[in-house]
Amino acid sequence: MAAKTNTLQSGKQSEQTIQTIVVVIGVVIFILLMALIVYPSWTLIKTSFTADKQFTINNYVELLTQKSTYTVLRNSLFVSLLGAVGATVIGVLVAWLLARTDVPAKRLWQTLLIVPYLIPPFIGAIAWVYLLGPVGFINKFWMAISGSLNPLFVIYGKWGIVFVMAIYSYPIAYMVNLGPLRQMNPSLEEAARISGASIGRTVRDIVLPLMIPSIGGSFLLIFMSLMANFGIPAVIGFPDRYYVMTTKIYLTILNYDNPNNLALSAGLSMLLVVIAVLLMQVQRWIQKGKSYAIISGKSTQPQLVALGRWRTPAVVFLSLLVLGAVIAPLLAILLTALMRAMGVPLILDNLTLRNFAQVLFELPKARRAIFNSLGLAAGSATVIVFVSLIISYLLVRLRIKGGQVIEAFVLLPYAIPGTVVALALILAFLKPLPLINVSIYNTIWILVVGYITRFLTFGVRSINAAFEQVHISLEEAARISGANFVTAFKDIVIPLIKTNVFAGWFLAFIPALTELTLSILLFSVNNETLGTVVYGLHQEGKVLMTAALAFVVTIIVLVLNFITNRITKNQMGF
Amino acid sequence: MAELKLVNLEKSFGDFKAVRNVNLTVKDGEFVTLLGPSGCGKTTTLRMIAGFTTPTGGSILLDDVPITSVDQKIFLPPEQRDMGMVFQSYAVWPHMNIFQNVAYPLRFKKLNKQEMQEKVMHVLSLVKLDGLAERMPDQLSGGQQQRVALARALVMEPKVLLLDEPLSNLDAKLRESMRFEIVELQRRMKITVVYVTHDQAEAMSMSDRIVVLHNGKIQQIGTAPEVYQKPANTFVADFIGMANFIPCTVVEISGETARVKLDDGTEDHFLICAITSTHQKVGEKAVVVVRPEYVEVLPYQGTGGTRARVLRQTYLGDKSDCLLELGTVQLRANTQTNFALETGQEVSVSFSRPILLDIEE
Repeated sequence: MAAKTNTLQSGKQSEQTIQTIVVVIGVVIFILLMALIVYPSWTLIKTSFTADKQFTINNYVELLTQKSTYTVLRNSLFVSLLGAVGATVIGVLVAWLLARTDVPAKRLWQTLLIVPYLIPPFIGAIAWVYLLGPVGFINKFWMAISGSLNPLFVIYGKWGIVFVMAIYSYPIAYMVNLGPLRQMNPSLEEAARISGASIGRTVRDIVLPLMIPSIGGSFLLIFMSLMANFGIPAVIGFPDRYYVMTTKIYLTILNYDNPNNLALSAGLSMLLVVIAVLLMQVQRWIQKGKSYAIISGKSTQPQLVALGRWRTPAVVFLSLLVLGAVIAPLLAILLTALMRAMGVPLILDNLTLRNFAQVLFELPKARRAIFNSLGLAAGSATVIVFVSLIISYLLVRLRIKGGQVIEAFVLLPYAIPGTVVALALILAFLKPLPLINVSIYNTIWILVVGYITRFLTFGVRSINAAFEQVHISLEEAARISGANFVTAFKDIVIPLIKTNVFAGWFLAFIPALTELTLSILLFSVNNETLGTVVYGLHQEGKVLMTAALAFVVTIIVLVLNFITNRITKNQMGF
Repeated sequence: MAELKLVNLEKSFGDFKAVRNVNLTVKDGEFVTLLGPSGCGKTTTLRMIAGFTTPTGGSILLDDVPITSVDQKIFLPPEQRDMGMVFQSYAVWPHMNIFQNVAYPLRFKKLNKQEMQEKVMHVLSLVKLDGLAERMPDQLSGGQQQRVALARALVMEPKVLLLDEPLSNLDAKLRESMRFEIVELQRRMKITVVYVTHDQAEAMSMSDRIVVLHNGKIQQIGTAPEVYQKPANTFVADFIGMANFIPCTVVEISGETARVKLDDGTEDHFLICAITSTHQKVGEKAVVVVRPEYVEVLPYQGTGGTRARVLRQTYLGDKSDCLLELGTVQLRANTQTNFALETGQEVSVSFSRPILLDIEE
């Protein structure tokens, strides 16, 4: 009996040993995260208070007394605010039409209207330059039919930025509001109708007020992401010398003539961070006020509003949206990519595949970028998945204390504008690393660090969800059946979280593949990425090659998203 | 032989004592139910038996061998306890078919394919799932998933079968028929069962003995008639079945009975009650418990019985539920359906089988 007791104890011990190992790895990861997230943040703050190696507030004094600071701040707020308003109005309207009305072909709209969310915003901006640039397709067509010598509308400048921001951000508002609109208890509306309110009055008096938390939340989400956006104002703002916070920080970092450029850009970054943090607080506050009692979680079948004579306008609106946000931009990129030369008439004889061959096989930096981006994205996504597995296990299964702190750290590099993250990484890793005395600045490794910290939250979120889905009793049922801790994990947990782990890998892989904001500041020769090369070719005016590469990137992203969707939908019914 | 013994079992979460000093012996082949409201410690106790929760004090013995002992630092992991368990959520693995689910515990026994196949098929027929072996769990109804969970727990012929509110997710009709099926299986396999529920009807219809738990403490252990007819305290009396509580003062004690004066605002209303605990003293306050079916209601004839007033009568089909006002207390009584009463009507009540209990602090 004594011998038996011993083996019994060893069983328990092995479980504890494994959990101890997990916790130790977790601690190591946590320390690494602190080093990669907290240290750069600290360096950024320190730099903003440093001039001539001395503590000073002069950087802030200089920034706050410069008129240009207020100009870019105002510009940022202007385009982000209007862009977010536009995106929210479009997104909520689309969500309402698809969730609560009898608009036809819902499936088709649902698929098409999500596409703008998948296209990298800077590529969307470039596409619209092809359409509404001074020699864009639409302007040329207009001049041809009207005989006018002036283009119809040139997209460069603030209104162009607002427009492109709105049509590439509305899917966020659409996605956030679709669920609540679908789940809203239909008897709330029926009660209004039986009290004598028309459909319009019901929407105005009941639906909209109930949706305010959700609509407000999506508006702030879009507003924050637009404040942080770099690609759109860079592509559409630079030709018109219209600068916002992110592009101003970018230009200040690159302004090597000013010896204090990094400190000044750090100061500007801090301003942007303060705004971002304030917005995040407002968002959290709105979310707290959300009444879950009214919008029930169960899916009910709400009565669909019959559109009647509004049916045609609704279809026209959705069609225009698909045309403007999906079909026209993609077609513009494809046609530009197929053209033999700039400015030639659009006839079959002038079409060629040479541009594709050129970017894929001949242009060395484009070829490097393809390999670099694939490697960077795959490598980062793989590291992210493994780190996320450990973090999620600690958070969800072991419910360790201080889990929320870890989650906050993981979210930080994504919540803060990418331009600021890139600057913090530059400042932190400019000098050689201690102990090994090697600098990762100007190498591919600083991009690796940037991608991992920035997209880690995607991995953690999807694997958290995976662990939460696998109820603990499933693991316990295996244990009581005779499986030990390791066997139960292998037989039950891993098969059940597998799909979410793959999904998490793709969720990190896809944005990393087309990343621009960090990469444009962190890349170096031989370490180009797809984002930096597409952007660089565009700035150099190499229109045909830009279009060809942009088209390839867009197709890759759409295909990857399709694959991810298939994987997650094939999940077992849980 | 599989006898399960809990000795001074305790579990605290920080300051909160979930289970306090639980002592219980489940005899070989016995069906014991842990019954109590949510948060009473019944599930925590069951999880300590299964080995999912480590107690903070006491020990658990299976056939006199300690499988958990805080003092001896013994803690047998769940997979080595030779127990089967049915979870409230069924916990049927969604990525395995029914056969694979049920066969899983046999993977850890040295069996050849043939034996495994036979055992699984046998237990599937026991739970009436013949022919569904190749199905996936999401193709089964809730009741069928429940049977899969039961089959999986039984397939390795465990020493002890643990069931954690297994029927609470089923609809009422199915729940009732499953009760009898589970008991029938248990009798046939002569298996020791610990069953957790908050449903008193379930407990009473299935168990050899019921353990009533409240605030982590055992309130009473007994057969169904014992806990119903001789509740150990007002909690048990209130939790199991319906009960009227009438405050009283003990006047006289003689052997197994006591004479009490009811403090119901009426004058000189005396009653002879059965005594359940020994420490009641003359002159002290206590409580009389009377079940509604032992309150007899008759038309008031001017004399005899005690006068009460009808507050309302509710028709329930097989009987009527009557709310009465007797002095300062309200009473529930069951009456015949053909005995119609009017609100405000005066009636005469008399009690049978009253029980004297301590006042709960």
